Amino acid sequence: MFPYNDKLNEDDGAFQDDLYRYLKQMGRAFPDTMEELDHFLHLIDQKNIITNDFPSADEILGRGFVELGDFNPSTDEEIEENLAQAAREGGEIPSDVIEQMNKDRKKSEEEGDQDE
Amino acid sequence: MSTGTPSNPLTGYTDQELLEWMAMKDDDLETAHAAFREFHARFHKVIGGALFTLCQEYANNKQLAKDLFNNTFMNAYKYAGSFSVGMETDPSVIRKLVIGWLLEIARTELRGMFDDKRKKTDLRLLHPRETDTEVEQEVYQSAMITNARASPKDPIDADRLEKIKKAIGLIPKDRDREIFEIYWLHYIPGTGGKAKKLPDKVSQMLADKYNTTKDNVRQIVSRCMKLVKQYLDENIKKIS
Repeated sequence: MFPYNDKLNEDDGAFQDDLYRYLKQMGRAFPDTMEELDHFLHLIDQKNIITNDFPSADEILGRGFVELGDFNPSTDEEIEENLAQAAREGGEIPSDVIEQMNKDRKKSEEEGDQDE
Repeated sequence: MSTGTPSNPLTGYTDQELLEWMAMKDDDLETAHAAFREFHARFHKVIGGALFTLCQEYANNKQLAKDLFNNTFMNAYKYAGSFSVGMETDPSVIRKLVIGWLLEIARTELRGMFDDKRKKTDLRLLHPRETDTEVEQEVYQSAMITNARASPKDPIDADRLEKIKKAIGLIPKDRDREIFEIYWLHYIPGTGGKAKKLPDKVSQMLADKYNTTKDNVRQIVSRCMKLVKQYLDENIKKIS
């Protein structure tokens, strides 16, 4: 991006490599090199983040590994959007979309049965 | 939380020596624990701050940062013996190598969160990491070497950073921003046109999380990328 090249496609590796490099400079991606690590540490130092409520050494030793993240599935109206788009453009509906539709339909029917 | 260990008998030891004590936990558990406490006291602030920063765009980010912090230090305790600095003797360089090693552990942990196989087997067992020992040790070793490799000087362009921040801020949904963030967590530079592809298992995990499809996950990444690119095209001085 020195200077910026708008002729690159957004899927182009050169564009994405540059974007990734900037994300590292912003502290939004893990540093890969010593120089990036230096910059990242400087960034953290400036932020002076309070970590007093992070687990203590004894808490970590006491509980061991913990499971990261607990995902709560949400409904996704965009499947409908994709289907509508595929219909408009005469495209083929991907098999995983069809599979998901079937799952959703089944789930919805089951919920309907429980409501009745 | 312990922020220092003034009475710890291992206070005077180097970072590398602490790791060596930790690696000897099977012979002397008490000393290994003392070494871990001192190690934690030395690195908790920088690693806590780093993980808090790196997790800020994820859902439930504060808890995720804390859990990731927990597992990063737990892995460091478990795999302390895999850390090596080669011929390096400068304590400030060794400290940076340790930080780089810890961050690479954290990255591996975070990536593992989207690994269906790991989630269903290892993470729910009583001793979750036994089966991954060799693989993870190898990853951490290679990561340390990567971190020690110098890169060309890269000037910081504050204006450009600000514009990229704004461009990402335009992504309308939390879900899309999180998927975009996870895309970068798995990004491997230099992959050219294939860069857009997330590992299949990651796409599947995201699809499961958001009750959608892998194809839609790919479309979300593509749409986010297009949005960012479009904003940059319109707001950054271009090649004439």
